[in-house]
Amino acid sequence: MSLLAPPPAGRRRLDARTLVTRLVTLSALRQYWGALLPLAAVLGVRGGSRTNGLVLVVAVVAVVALGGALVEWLRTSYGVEGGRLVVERGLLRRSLTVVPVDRIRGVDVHASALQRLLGIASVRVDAAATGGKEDEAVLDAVSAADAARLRDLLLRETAAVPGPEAGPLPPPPTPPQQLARFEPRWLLYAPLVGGYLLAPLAALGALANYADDLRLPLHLRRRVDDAVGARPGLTAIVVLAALVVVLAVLGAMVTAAVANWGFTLTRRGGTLVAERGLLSRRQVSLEHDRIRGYALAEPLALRAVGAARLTALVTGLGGSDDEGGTGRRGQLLPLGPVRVARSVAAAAVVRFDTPLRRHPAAARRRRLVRAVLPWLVPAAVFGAFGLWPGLVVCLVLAAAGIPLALDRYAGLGNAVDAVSVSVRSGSLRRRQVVLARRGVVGATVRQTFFQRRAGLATVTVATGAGSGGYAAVDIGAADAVALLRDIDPVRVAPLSTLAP
Amino acid sequence: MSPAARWLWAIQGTLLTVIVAAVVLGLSLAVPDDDVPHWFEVTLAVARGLLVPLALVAIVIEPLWRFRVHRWEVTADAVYTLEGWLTRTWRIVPISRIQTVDTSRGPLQQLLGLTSISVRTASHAGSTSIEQLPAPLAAAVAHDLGLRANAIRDEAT
Repeated sequence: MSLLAPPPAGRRRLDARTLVTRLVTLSALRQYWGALLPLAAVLGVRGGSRTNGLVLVVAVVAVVALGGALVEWLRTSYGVEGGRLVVERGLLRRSLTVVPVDRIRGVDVHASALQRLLGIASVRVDAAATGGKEDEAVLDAVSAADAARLRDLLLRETAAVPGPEAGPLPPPPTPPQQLARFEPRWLLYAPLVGGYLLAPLAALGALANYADDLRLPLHLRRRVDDAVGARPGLTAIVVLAALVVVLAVLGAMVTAAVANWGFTLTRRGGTLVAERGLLSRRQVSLEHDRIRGYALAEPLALRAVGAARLTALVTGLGGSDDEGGTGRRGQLLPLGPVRVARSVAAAAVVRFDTPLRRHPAAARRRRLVRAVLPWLVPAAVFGAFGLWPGLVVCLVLAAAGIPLALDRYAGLGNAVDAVSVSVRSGSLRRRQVVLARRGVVGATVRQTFFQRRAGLATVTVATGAGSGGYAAVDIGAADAVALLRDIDPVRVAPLSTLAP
Repeated sequence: MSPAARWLWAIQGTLLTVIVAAVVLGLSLAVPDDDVPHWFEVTLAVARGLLVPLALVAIVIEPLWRFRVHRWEVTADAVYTLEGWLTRTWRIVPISRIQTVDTSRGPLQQLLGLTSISVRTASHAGSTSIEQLPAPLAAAVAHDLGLRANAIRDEAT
């Protein structure tokens, strides 16, 4: 097939405006970088005067970037044929990606700030498989309207295929229904989330490194050195510290705003669609049948102000309940009041109102021992050698462990209702997981030597979603059997070998 | 589980003991007596003293204890396993959720005629293994599990 031939019948090209983004980001250069660098060097040397050489280099770069993008655009085509999404691309290295529509797990639409200006968007199709990168088909980029059309087409066909009866929930209503909307005042919670607080600091660190590389003019550097070398007064230190705190708080809020601005969660037929982003917009869709439950994260700082984060547990989305990173894909509410998070969970996944059962008092003893003992041992060593500062530090940490341990114990809980099982644990990173009982694929009961003496056990329910297993920590040994029996009376009840 | 499992664990314990002993004794011989810090000498002495108890635990006590604890059972609905010695772990895998059934035999296991079956589900936490069965029994159990998992597969993974 010649380079200029139109795409085969039924197929379409990517949007021509893609060329602009390709040229601006110089993406084609990455491919030809190896060849371009020596070329640029030769031209730079041969080009007589330096300016001429530079102009020549820039011109070559632009031509290669545009040419590469043009070839890519001409040779990329996509279409939906016979229940399969087909993407063909490449001139020298050709590739053909075929994804059966009934295997499509989700369709993500992403538009960077530049793409939004141009009215185009990238589409990434997630196929049900091991979750590796090879299982995805990417269309970078099509017009915004085509992206929406494609998403509806692919997801509707997915929903039309009779799915497994695994869904923990009744079939959802068909008209689009907005379940959550991010309110700007929730950004006030952002400074309490480590990820948002650290991201701008990391950027600042990188910037400082860069400034160091810039080789400031000597006299300027000397002046800075003088200012730093001079002994700063107490006021200067206080002002500087206050400035750092204010900047960190603002930075966290800006980071959270960039990621979460205009977040909405909508139900469209059998899928949940989450949309977010201030500069670049990202739209993630999750198939309802693949949601096995949710995780409500209430880290200590967020809990203090009554806020939480909500994530769906989705099969095939590895680690979908992690903080940040891939966890973004399953997020149902990135940040918000816990009351809102609970109502979103009830509307989007499943309602769970059963109060959690407390764990036995032995669990509290164990929390205390585990929080305090590790500091008492080094304290004893420090004391024996007369290292008083070390002793004091260890004793303070041991004392701090007591309220932490009590809060950890207060966080422990488990419950089972008609459709779900729930476990909660943690203090600094408290998390409650609600999991469909039908989604439980196995269970583990674990007793260490000390747990056996205390009559406790840790029950882990396994599922193919989220992090794979969720633990009810230090439950009573007899309750462990009862919990498993409640979750799955048929298959788990004859658990005869569990002798507490 | 095959009684030969005890021999397997004892051999593994012996190998562990030999490696630890080689490191401890090697250090004791290689390090000169005079210019080492006091705490290092004390640590080495303690380690030498612990060698014999370690050997006793790893070669005799742990294998016998494990053999008393380990159990497995396959019912109409699920696979149950219990393993461990100090820390014990019970695992339940409903047969309808099984995705793959593999058997494996390491070199030592082949020597002793042992086979382990690993039963996997969609979740790592929900997978288990039936360790150290006599080879013919393992083959039969794995075959049977594979067939039944296929017959009553439930897609709720």
